[in-house]
This record gives sequence, structure tokens and C-alpha cells, in this order.
Amino acid sequence: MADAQNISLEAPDDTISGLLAVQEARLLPLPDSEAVPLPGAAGSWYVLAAERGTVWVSAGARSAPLEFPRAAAIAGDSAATLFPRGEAALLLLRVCGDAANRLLQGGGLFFPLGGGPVREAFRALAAETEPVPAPLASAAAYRLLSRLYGTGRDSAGDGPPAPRAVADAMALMQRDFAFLDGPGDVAARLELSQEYLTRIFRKCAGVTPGKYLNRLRVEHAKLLLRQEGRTVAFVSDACGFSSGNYFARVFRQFTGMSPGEYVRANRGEAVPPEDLPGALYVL
Amino acid sequence: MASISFKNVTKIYDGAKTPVVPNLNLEIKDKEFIILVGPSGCGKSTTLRMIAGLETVSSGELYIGDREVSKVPPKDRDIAMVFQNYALYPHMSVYKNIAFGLTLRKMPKDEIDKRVHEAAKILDLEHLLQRKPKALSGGQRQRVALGRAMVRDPAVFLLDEPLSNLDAKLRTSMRSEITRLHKRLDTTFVYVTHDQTEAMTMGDRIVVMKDGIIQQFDTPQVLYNTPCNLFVAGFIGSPQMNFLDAVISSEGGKLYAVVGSDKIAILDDKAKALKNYVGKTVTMGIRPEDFQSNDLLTDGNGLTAKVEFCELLGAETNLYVYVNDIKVIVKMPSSEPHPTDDKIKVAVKLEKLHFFDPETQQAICH
Repeated sequence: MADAQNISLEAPDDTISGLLAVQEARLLPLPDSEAVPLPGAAGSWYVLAAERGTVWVSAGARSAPLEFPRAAAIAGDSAATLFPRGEAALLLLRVCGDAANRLLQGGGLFFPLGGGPVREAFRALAAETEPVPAPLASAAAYRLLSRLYGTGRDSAGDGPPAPRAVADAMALMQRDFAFLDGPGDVAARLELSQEYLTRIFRKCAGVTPGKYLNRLRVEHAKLLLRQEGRTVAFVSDACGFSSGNYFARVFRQFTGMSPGEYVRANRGEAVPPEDLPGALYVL
Repeated sequence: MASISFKNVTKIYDGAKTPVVPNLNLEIKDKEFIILVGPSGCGKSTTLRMIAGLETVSSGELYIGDREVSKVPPKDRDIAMVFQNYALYPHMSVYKNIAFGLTLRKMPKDEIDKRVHEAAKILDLEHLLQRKPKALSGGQRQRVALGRAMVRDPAVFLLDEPLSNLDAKLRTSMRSEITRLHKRLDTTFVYVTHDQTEAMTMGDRIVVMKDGIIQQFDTPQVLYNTPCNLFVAGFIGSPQMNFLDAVISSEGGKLYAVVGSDKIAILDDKAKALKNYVGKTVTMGIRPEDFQSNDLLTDGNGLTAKVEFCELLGAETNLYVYVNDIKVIVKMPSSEPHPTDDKIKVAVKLEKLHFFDPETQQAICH
């Protein structure tokens, strides 16, 4: 996705702008610990998801961490500021129109499982020939918004509703990623066959449950590795990897570097305790 | 060892309009076994997670012992938590799972070994120390989770629905094991459950919560005998308390609760509190076990009932009946069967009646 940092979009006509239009779609790299204000954009909405790392989003009196797989929707005129914790990158979509206003009114909304749909929308736009025709972008935005609210329909709008089992599997993995014995265990705990779960999960989230689980573990591992006094062996254990070798292999797949290299590059960055999901498990 | 104190604590989630816990004030004594109980979404788990530091406190103060901890990270609060899902690492042996937190704290190996074996002995896990969690039963896994909490020798134990994943038989035996453990460890336990049987049988005191608000905080016996409102009355006790609409009437200086065509005499100690309700409808509560043998039927203690069905349990009988079109459960000492649609009179224990104001839902008298 790195080659699609800024997706060129065809200017929407008045009809599409009035209904639902994508005005901006880009990958926003955020340098370490530098506050970045979101440009004011009255009448539009930012839909954000973390592509890498953790970013605290502060809008008005509210402040909350945005990390995979969460997503946030923020009113364009809310003077929001982004505070990355370590090097991070956000997927940013700016949308406008009646549908966005109706669905997102209230502002400052967080979607615990919205990261997957935002990635999917971004990927769908990146796969089109640029500039992306406005009706196609509008359709992608519609699918995104409806999926954010869990009532959405798959692909072209004529598929089945996103299955509840996928949401359950995501919630289970987010809570217990360190204590699950692979995707087979996820399926067993939900009393589903692994083949079925893999099929519907891939269809809804765009990745297999195994990859989703490993991604959660690696994100958690990155946070732990930044803390002083954590050994790579401890982090591997605490994140639920069955061996140090497997941890190193998976970590490299997601980050392009070994855990040791990551430590040398990032050690010592302060990580607030609330950034550590499941911190109490390893007390 | 530590007391826990909530002072005007509020918890509101980002973006939410109403707090999940508004203005909580609660004092838990050192070494107490406290149960937080209530229906799903009542704020009991959020309250526990605030003690743990897994949820931030939006406003107010939270003390563990003399220390204000709302800004203290979980690992520095001297607490240990046991979860419903056990939270065991699947790739580690039982020994390593129990020892993991101590290794992290860089405790000497021989001390870790001593503590793990002590805990394993208490929890009957010695022969399982080299097994992986996959090879254990649900009850054994939960004992490993308890062991992991025990070896840390925390000031406070937090238990979040620890028995919910176990079958009924195992739950009963684990209930008494956890109660024994509390006595043996002699430290503060805070235990969350939605199961009122666990609440009644395990806790020194029970906090009954609804919508983030404490309804009543007292010993199991006080909650059972004198519930402060309709919610607590309906929540504590199994089968739950029966509620009937009754009109209070006054005849010849005596008060009666009129239910359909039946008149129930109100004893003098209750009549004082009910005298302002003459002519009004109140909610009369009767626990299923507060009916008595029909031999004791008198003029002022009988309710006319139509039998729906009858459960013979051997020593006693559960009668499911309709009183004035309201479904009522009656526990009777006898094992005499009653056919369906049989019209009978059931006798109530007058001293055990509860009365509630239907508008405020608060108790009038017990």
C-alpha cells in the first residue's frame, strides 16, 4: 500500500457531492512524537485508521488512542490533532455528503473494529485506475460507512450482511491474542469449523484469521519492545508466540526487521500503560 | 492487604453521552470478600477493571490502602486478577504459566520455585505442573489462573466471573474452593458475578448494582431479608421473589392487603409504615419459600391460586400457580401433588411479607 500514498480522485459532480463523495484518500505517514493538526475541512468528515503504530487522536475535550484495528470518524471542522506514539501511519479518507452527515453526526466516533473496513476501502480505491471515477469512490465510501456500523453489505452491495461470527472472532482475538493457540483455537472457541471461519473472515476482513491474529501480536510486541528491560524472549512469550524463532519470522514479515533491530531503532520511547492491552496478564 | 475506597468515581467512555458508572462511593474493608453483582451492563466489571487499572477513572478518587491509585499503572497497584477466560499462555507449561509474572519481576529462581510449588500444593496442581493448558480440564485451568495470582502475594485479588466457563457441578465445588482460599490467604477479594447464588454463598458483603449505581451494599442476609427496593428484592433469592399488586384497606382499626378477592392481614409492625397507603395500590413481595403448609391457613393469610403445574422434588414441592392472573412460585414443604387447573388456597407467612411503593420502587416495610 506504500506505493499508493495519495490516491488521485476524479472531482465528483454536484449530485454525488450531495449524496456521498470521497474527497481525499491517502496514507499519512506521521513522524515520531510530532503533533500534526488535521487541516480544517468544514462540511466533510475524516475517517481514520492506523496503518502502522499508535496515534492518539485529540478532538475537543476528547482524546483516545487509534491503533489497529480501530477506526475513528471526526468532523472536518473539529480542529483535531494527531499525536503519534513512535513512528506511525494513518489511512485517511475524507468524505462528504448527506449520507456521511447522517451516519457520522455526533463526531468523534470510534469504531472498535473499523480498521479492516477502512483498509478495504483504501485498497479498493488503490486498485482502480487513477483518477478514480467519482461514482466508484462513492460506492466504496458507502460500503465503508455501512460496514463501520455493522449493518453493511458485502462487496457490490448485494452480498450477505457481514457475519456476526467475524465480529466475534475479531473481538476474541483482540482481547485474548496472547492466549489463543492459533486460528484453530479461535474457531474452536466460537464453535465453528476452521475452514468456515477462514472463508468468511477473509471475505469480510480481507485477511485470514491467522494473519489478523499475528498482526495483533506484532503490534503488541512492538509496544513491549520499546519498554526498557524487556527481553526479546519475554516479548515473544508475552505476545503468545510459540517460539522465539517463529516470533522473529512473523515480526520480520510485518515490519521488515528483526525484533532486535526494532529494539535498537526504537528503545526508550515512552509508552503509557494504557497503550498496553492486556497489561495485567503479565503483571 | 488493603482496603479499597471509591470516592465520587465516575466512568464515562469516549464519545458516550451517559456515564457507565456515575458517582460511585464504596468502601471495601481490608481482608473482606466483596461480591459485585448485577445484570449485564450494570457497571460491575467496569468497576473491577477500574480497581485493576484496566479502565481509567474519568473523575473522582480511587484508593487502595492509603494510596490514591487512579494514575498508577496496573503493574504497580499490588493486585492480581483472575479472568473468566483463564488467560493462560497455550505454549507454556502450567509451571511456567504460574511463574511467568514472577520471572518478569526478576525474582530469584529458587524463590519462584518455592512459591509455585506452594501454590500448586494448595490448589492440587502438583502433578500437573509440566502439562500444557490444552491438556487440562476447565476447573484445572481456572486453578492455574488462581495459582498465578496467588504466587504474586498481592494485596488485593480481583476475580472477574471466574466460574462462568465451568459446568454447574464444577462451579459448585470451585465456589467452596475459592471461599476456602480467601480464608487461607486472608486478603481482600473483589469478585464480579451475575450469578446471585455465587453472590449469596461466597461474599462477606454484596454490592448489588444496576445502571452503574449501587442499589444496596450489605451482607447476604440483610439483602435477602430487607431488600431496599424492587430491583434488589427481585435479584437476590432463587427462585425470585413473587410480586403482587395489593390495595391497602383499613377495617376496624386493622390494615389489610387486598389481592383480588383475598384479604391478607397486615401485622402491627408493618401497619405503621403502611398507614399512609390506605386506599392505594402497593407491590406486595412474597418469597417462594415464605409460603407455609395449608394446615396453617387462617382467615387472613390465604391467597386463592390456580395451579399451572406442580414440580415434586421429594422433600418439597414447587407449585407454579396464578394468583389474580399473576404467575407465582410457591415452595411447599409437602409432596402432595396438585392437578393442573386445580383451585387451591395457599397460606403466606405474614411476618415475611415485603411491601414496596410501586412509583418509587423503594421498600416501605419488611
